[in-house]
Amino acid sequence: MSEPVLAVRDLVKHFPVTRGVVFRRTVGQVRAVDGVSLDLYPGETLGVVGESGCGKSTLAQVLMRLTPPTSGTATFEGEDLFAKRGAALTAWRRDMQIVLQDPYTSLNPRKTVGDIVGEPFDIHPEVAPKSDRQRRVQELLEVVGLNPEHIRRYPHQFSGGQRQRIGIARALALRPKVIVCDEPVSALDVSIQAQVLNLLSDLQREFGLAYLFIAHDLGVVRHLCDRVAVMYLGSIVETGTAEEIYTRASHPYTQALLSSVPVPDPSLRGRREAVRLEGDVPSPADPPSGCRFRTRCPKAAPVCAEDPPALEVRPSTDHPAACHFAEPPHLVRVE
Amino acid sequence: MAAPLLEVDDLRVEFGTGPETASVLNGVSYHVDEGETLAVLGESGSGKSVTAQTVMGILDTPPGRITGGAVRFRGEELLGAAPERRRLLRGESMAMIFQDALSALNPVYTVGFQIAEQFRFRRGMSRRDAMARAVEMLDLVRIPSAAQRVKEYPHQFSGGMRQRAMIAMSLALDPELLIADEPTTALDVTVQAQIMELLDELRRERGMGLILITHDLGVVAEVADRIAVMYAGRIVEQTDAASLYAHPAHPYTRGLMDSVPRVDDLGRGAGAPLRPIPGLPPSLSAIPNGCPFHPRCAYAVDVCTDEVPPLREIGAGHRAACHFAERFAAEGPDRPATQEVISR
Repeated sequence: MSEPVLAVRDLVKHFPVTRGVVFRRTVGQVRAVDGVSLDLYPGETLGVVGESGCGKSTLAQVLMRLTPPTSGTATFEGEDLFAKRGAALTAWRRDMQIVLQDPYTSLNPRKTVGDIVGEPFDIHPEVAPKSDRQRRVQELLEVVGLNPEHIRRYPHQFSGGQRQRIGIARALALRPKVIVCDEPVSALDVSIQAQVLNLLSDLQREFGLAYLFIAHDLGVVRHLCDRVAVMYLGSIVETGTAEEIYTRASHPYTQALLSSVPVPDPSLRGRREAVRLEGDVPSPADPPSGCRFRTRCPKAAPVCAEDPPALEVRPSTDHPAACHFAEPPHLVRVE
Repeated sequence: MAAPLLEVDDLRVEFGTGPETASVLNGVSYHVDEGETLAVLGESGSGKSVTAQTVMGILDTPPGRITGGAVRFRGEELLGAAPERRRLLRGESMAMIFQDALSALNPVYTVGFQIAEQFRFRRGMSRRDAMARAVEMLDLVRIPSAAQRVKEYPHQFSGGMRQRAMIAMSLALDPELLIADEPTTALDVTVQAQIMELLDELRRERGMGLILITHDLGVVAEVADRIAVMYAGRIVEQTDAASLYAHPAHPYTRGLMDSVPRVDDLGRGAGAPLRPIPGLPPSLSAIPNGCPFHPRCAYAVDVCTDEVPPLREIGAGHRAACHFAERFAAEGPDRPATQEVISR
């Protein structure tokens, strides 16, 4: 396999919890991301799934250099990502772009579509000479399936799905190698969501993009991703190819997640004996000792409270999972 | 035959005036029986929430305007009823829960106070007795250590617990009909599963009618008895859950099913493109002539642009508003069946 374009090792991001106004003191840490390692290869889609508060969006922000990490390393094409400063940082930003979740707040309402999609060229004038800019913007609009004539319209004149296309055009402008997609379709209606997902696959094929695809919708991730990492409370609990995760999930959390997703097939009603989790996700400011998942885990044993399980392949499984009792799921055939 | 629990008959609602008038509901009819779950399925702007608001009598008028139709609760016409009567029915006979529990709860009162309020004003209980009942209600929706939790404020609850608290509040006066407007959309899947199970159980125990408003085809498949699919302020298809998924008769219903990437999808295979519905839903102030779905429909022919297809019976209890509904229903869906499911 080729070299990863993005390699992340033991990434940690803690946010301090403070008390007091004048004498501000730190009383704790929110462990938003707590030791995440992953590799993203050129042209592939790596899905990061997890429930709200698991740290997947913080991970995206740290990797985009929007907030500094607490510790850990990341390399982009072999170069230290967090050491980049000044011109090197600006130059790197051409290679890695982001598409945000909410198409209503991620576009400036006072700018025209032409200004929004053309803004990357203002910051990186070497990419397109000024005279060429309008043509480039119109090309981009066409690529994402918008009418190039609409270059002078404002975001409010577009629907949610069209706005998300504008956000994608903006991310594509500098011909990046990696696009971080932070829940790009979760705000859209299903029929529109499918249009945007197809667009993302087409663009990947056309431009050889690698996606770090962050989502909570397991159906969407299965459809789009080559490999999947499942996050729970700041760390990755299971990782593997989409096939491995969706047919042979071995971590009890992944199994519970998969069996909680309602399947649009009424004939299965009553035949699925789903793995149900009790309670809510614990606070990342005060995570449980040992295995983070043990408080909700149907398999929890005394060892889980003491010994945090490593993310590794175990005898009965074919891909890494962070569970002492990882084993393939109990599958029931449905005729 | 006795009157159904709730009957919505040819309901029409408009917003705004002049050329900007948006026809939000264009003749919506459905009914719910006791102990039954009716799912109203549709995308944003299809009118599913406006129908529910009109039923509850909480539609803002203006800007909304009810231009026709009837809402009957156990045979009693509600649209012309006095506000006092409707107020009495709300809570006692019909109740509603909303998508965003945080903004539906009052942040400056404790959760217990907000539940107890109903017992004090409607049942004339003392503060102490009402609070004791509020604890029972929180227990009923399985909030752990309810006696302590009752004194907390909404912001101290997690998303799933807030939704439980809202369910407790809506069930306090033992209504016969519960309308749940996207109750789990804001929640994570594991919590969504808990809440849907709870709702289903409470409905069964109390023999309540439940209207579940949602856009999620998966949730609908798990709990609905009957399903009404809405598009552009109309019901385009209505039938029991099993036949809707096995014989979708309206191209819009089929389109929705083809658009959803499924977690169990083994047949389609990774990378194969989804088949989305092309285009956008119509603007409600300029609904197309003929069938409102025809600009997005792959099967549209001349008759579709000229004639509005009526919602008509195409099989036992199966109604669809498409000129060619019989053909589509006979074809069945174009997707592989589920093969394996994870079990305990």
